[in-house]
Amino acid sequence: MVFDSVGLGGPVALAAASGPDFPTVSEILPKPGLFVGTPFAINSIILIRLISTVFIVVFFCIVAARAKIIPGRVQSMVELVVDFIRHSIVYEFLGEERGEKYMNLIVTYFVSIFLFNFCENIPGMNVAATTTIAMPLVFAVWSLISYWAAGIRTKGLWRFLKDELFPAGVPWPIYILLAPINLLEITVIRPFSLTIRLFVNMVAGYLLVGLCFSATQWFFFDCAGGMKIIGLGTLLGGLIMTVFEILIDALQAFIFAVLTAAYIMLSMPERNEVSGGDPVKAVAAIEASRRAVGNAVRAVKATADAMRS
Amino acid sequence: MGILTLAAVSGNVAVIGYGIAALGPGIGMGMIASKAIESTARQPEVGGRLMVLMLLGIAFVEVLALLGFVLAFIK
Amino acid sequence: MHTVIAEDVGTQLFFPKDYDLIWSTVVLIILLVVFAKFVMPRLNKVMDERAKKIQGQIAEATKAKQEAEAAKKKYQDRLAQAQAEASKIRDDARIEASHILEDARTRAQVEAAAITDNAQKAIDSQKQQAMQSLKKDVGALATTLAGKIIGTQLASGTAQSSMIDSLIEEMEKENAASGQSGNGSH
Repeated sequence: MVFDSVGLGGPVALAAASGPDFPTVSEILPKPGLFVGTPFAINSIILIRLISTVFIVVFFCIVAARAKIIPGRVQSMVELVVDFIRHSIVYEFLGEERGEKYMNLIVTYFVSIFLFNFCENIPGMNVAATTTIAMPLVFAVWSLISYWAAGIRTKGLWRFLKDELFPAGVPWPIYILLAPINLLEITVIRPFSLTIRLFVNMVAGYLLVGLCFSATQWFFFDCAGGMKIIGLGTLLGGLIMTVFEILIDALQAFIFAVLTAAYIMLSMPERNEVSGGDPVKAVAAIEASRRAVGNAVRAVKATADAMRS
Repeated sequence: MGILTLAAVSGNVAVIGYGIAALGPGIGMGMIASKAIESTARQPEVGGRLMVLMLLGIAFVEVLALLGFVLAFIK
Repeated sequence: MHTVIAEDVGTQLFFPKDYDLIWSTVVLIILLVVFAKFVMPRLNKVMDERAKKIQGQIAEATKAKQEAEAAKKKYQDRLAQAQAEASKIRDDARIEASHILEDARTRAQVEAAAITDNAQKAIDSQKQQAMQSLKKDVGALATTLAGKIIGTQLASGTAQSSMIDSLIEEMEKENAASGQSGNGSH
């Protein structure tokens, strides 16, 4: 049954019989064990998801309920994350005024996706709560709803569709090609790419880490003599992959949150009116002027030093 | 040895397809990263902003490679 | 059999199950509601409060610093004023002292001069008196002496006194001539 796998697991099937217990795709399609047959059936991944949801809710409610002006260690950590999201994602893309409204959404996304992903590194769970396509899909659909809602609320449905389908500054014959592509983009491609990105990353992570550790197990316990040494290599590989997966977990959560914020920004009118035009250019201009001032100050100081000595 | 059998073409052709599909995005991601590093070296002040933009770009390119991964599963 | 399951499984990955979708939606809604209704408002409130407090403290500190600086300036001003006053008083005192000294000196000099004058006058008058009595006594004495020597009483008092007078005048002249240079000790 191990070799029911396809894709990456496929070729290994030919090695058969004495091969290691490689992870397979069917392991991330577990059969439901509770409420079987009802629409509320629960399989192991859904159980993991529910457990981590309970953990997130309890943990954050406790932190929020006990939040004080002088923060403890845990509260500072949570505030660090919230501040990071506020400044590097929300304010960066949406500006301070409009961004505040979407803070709840983006923080929820980042925190829950990260902690769901992180389950794959917890012994006993070993599978991320986002490893069935339904969870990333639901996240992506909610962000689709969010950016449509943002566009319709700020511009009205027709302005929003006109801006998205017929972007200004393009000769009209191009619209024949561009309008359907843009329609596909805002309805299907964006949520689909969000879903696929998160889901496939988690599947690949699961397979890679599982591959390393199952090979280690096989080399250590089923192989004789010199082969055991190879197990050290795969063990090291497994550890490195685990660390890499933690990075990927955070990165995917970050990218999901950033893209949701970016899509919301794209459907709103007058992008980054706050900072005046292109944000990158504005930042660059501000930085350049700051640098110029710094240079001038340094020059004055140098002159003063020279005069003193 | 499993490794030898893996090397034989008798395996899953979809894996080769995934390998080829990963080539383009691999090059693309490399270019994005190198340009981001270049720009950061030129203007270290906007490094944070460039980092976010680089990750965004990588995310878009990554989808192409992931599509190959998906297609390796769907025969 | 083998391949059928395999194909099935691989494709199944990308088709969500209904129960999976339902639980995912439930989970997402729970998370969104909990974060939007409780966690974020609470955290934001605390963070805003802290920001406000810190800002207030910074403002307070700035105010306190300004006050301290103002007080220091006032103190320094007063100190400088006091020093200026003190030096002025010292100068005045010095000037006054020199005036007083001058006054005292002049008064002393005047007094000394007056005393010297008085003494001179007293001496002069005493000298006069002495001369007077001396003239009287010496005249009588000389007459008696001369009478005794000559043995005869001069007949006329007039001749006698005119002779004595001329004698004394002559003595006085001699005396004055010698007193001018010596300024006698009598």
